[in-house]
Amino acid sequence: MVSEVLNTDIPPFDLLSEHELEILKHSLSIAYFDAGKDIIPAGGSPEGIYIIIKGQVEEYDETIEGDRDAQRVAQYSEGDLFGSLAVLKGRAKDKYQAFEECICHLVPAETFLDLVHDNPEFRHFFHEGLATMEKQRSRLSVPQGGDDFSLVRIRDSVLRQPVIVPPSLSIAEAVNQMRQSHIDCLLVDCDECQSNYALVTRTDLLDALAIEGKTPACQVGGLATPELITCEADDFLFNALILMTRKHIKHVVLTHEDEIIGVSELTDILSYLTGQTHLMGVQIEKATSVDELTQASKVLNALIRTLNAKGVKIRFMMELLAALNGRLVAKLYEITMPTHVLENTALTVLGSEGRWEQIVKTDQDNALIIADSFDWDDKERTRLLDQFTEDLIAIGFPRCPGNIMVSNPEWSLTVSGWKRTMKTWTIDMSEETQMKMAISLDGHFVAGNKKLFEEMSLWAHENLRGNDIFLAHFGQSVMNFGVPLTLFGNVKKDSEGLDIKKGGIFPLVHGVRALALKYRCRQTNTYRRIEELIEKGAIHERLGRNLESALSLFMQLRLETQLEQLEQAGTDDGSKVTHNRIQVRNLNRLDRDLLREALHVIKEFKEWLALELHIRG
Amino acid sequence: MMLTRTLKRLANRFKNRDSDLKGLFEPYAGSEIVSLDCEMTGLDTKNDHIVSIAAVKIDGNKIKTGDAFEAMIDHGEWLSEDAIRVHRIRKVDLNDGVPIETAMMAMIEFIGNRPILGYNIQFDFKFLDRYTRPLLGFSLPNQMIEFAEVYRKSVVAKRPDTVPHLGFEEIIDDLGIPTFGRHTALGDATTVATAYVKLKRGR
Repeated sequence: MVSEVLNTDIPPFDLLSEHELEILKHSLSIAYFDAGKDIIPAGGSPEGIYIIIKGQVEEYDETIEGDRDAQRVAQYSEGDLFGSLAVLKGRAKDKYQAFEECICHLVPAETFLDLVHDNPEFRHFFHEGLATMEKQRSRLSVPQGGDDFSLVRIRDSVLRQPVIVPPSLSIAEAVNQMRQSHIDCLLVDCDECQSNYALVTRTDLLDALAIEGKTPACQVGGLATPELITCEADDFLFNALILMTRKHIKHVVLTHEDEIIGVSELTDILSYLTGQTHLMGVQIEKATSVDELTQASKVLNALIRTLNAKGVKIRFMMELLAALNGRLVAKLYEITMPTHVLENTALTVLGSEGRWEQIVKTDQDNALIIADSFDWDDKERTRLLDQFTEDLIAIGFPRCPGNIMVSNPEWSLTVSGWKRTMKTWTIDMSEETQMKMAISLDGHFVAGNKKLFEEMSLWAHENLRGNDIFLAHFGQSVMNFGVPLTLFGNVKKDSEGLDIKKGGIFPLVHGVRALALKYRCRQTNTYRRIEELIEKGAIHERLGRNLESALSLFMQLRLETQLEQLEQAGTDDGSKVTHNRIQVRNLNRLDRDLLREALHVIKEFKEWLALELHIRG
Repeated sequence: MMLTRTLKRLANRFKNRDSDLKGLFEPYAGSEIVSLDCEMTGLDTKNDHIVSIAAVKIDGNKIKTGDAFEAMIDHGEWLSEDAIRVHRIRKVDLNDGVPIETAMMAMIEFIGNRPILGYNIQFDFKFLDRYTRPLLGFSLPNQMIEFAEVYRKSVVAKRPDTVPHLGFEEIIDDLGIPTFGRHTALGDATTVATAYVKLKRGR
């Protein structure tokens, strides 16, 4: 009967065994507190951990200078659990006070510590912070009955034994071999090749016969591609799909510890994913007009919904969507620009697009780098770039409200023009230029002449990194928005919701960006930046992992509010997404706990960053 | 009524001065109270039966739900349809029930000489007495605390002009106490206990 009252089907109690649940149930009591009463005084040793049945509790850190609002670090309401940290430490750092009349379940400290001691999973839930909590969340949100295919490994799903043939094999024999083995590609022995093998596909053979006029008796050796595109067999299936989408190929060679152990074909992956992802990729590649690209782009939001509903990890979704969006933009540029323009310009996507962190297309940020030697006719330039911006809007990338688009001459400069501009930015250091610099540093090449982009990117990092004053100013804006920890449950603010971009995403992304600049890390994706910063020893691994988890949570919550807004507006037009606010009170207990933890991570990160970058608060 | 009960208690205390149960007649010295609730097959104290008994201890601001007493009674006979409708206890639910005698002894051990709190507690006691008398030779000697009376007093103390509604749901509603499984004995005992703590500790 008591189990009806304390729900033990949700984390962390669902981690307990039958026997442990019995122990838990027999230790429970219900405690009543008047409004204003200290449930756990600061510095006191708590009686146990509490789960709120009714009422609200506030947590105060009395060491913070300022009024009650400044001291309030968290608010707990129905279903929330509090006091675990205090019990684990034996002493409460903060004060927990009943904000209104409170009725709570109480698990005595002794019982809680016994359970934590005896059950490692239960312990991890409380000990290891956010990274574990995120695991608990994904464990909960895996859709019933469906595989979480973002966790499927290539080796376990689509690995095929490679068929190896000598270069002297004739085309006819090769086709026969393919038929027998039900495979679309062969590895050809190749002594000069780096990996000792070259790859020949059914399409290569068809082209040779139909277009190049080869006969079936010709040897396959000369037709094979010597540069193999490989993927680690233990990598996730999703990464193989992203690789294929990025490189627009249909086969990858699978390796393990540098040995070739198999091949994987697109059709096999598709049979796993049954989604439209690659079909979309194919559609983009085949497109020859803006109309065709628009058609391909239309299914993107539906795809996002499907992937989200299937429980695909947000990080994989971001990469996949970035790959598809990137190809979309690149293809448009390639279709609409004449060759002399393609050779002398580099199209770059900036901001969240550049970081591969845009899922729903809410705006376009892009810039152009033009070769100094390129004598571009002004009229042609204006016409082509204006048209390009309009075309992008037509295929589903809404206009940038800040006018950061190639049609704006400010964002379409020659290499030396860019260098001059960036230098003035570092000297000016106003808020506006800070933001411009930030978006530019996230730039990612998509089409045209890559060398121009490489030159700019190297120059920017070399010239900005050593400038400590610039770095300190640059990092400053991380501090601009307070962590919205005190907003929890606050009725007045609650009706507006919590702005997850200002409170969580921005400080995290920008802080990591500033560090990336300081430590010469040229990745643009935030996860990859964090990874590299950990490797370089620039940030502690624990903090890094927590930041990754926090970012995933923020992105997930933001995606959900974006999809909801689109649904309400009855459109797929990303410009109809007007805000990034989430309603904390609508979140379930676990998500609320996660969000609180994640915001604590941001708080910790900001404090650490202020010291690291010598930012004055 | 109360007076005769007190007299009976004193007499029984004297009669049982050497028995194992003499502790029941000692005045209670501790800080705990027991909230008790019985579910019956009907309202006839002579002919209806107890189907379940539950009790939970209150100490200060805590209700010890983990250490509660709960017994389903197996009378080995058919339950009235009305009882099934009200309590949603079907005959099959009573399969792991115990004979009333066993339940009574276990309950007495659990409550000891603590004061007993309940809503319409005299009614429950009438049923319990029907079993304790043949079993032990006396009625339960524990002090009774009528929850509805505690509530009435607290309301009148604050708002002397009002005539409080004393229906169970109305009281719980007025106090804003969450209900813990209405129409289970343990649920009701817990609800009453929580409401009592609020009345006694709340401002």
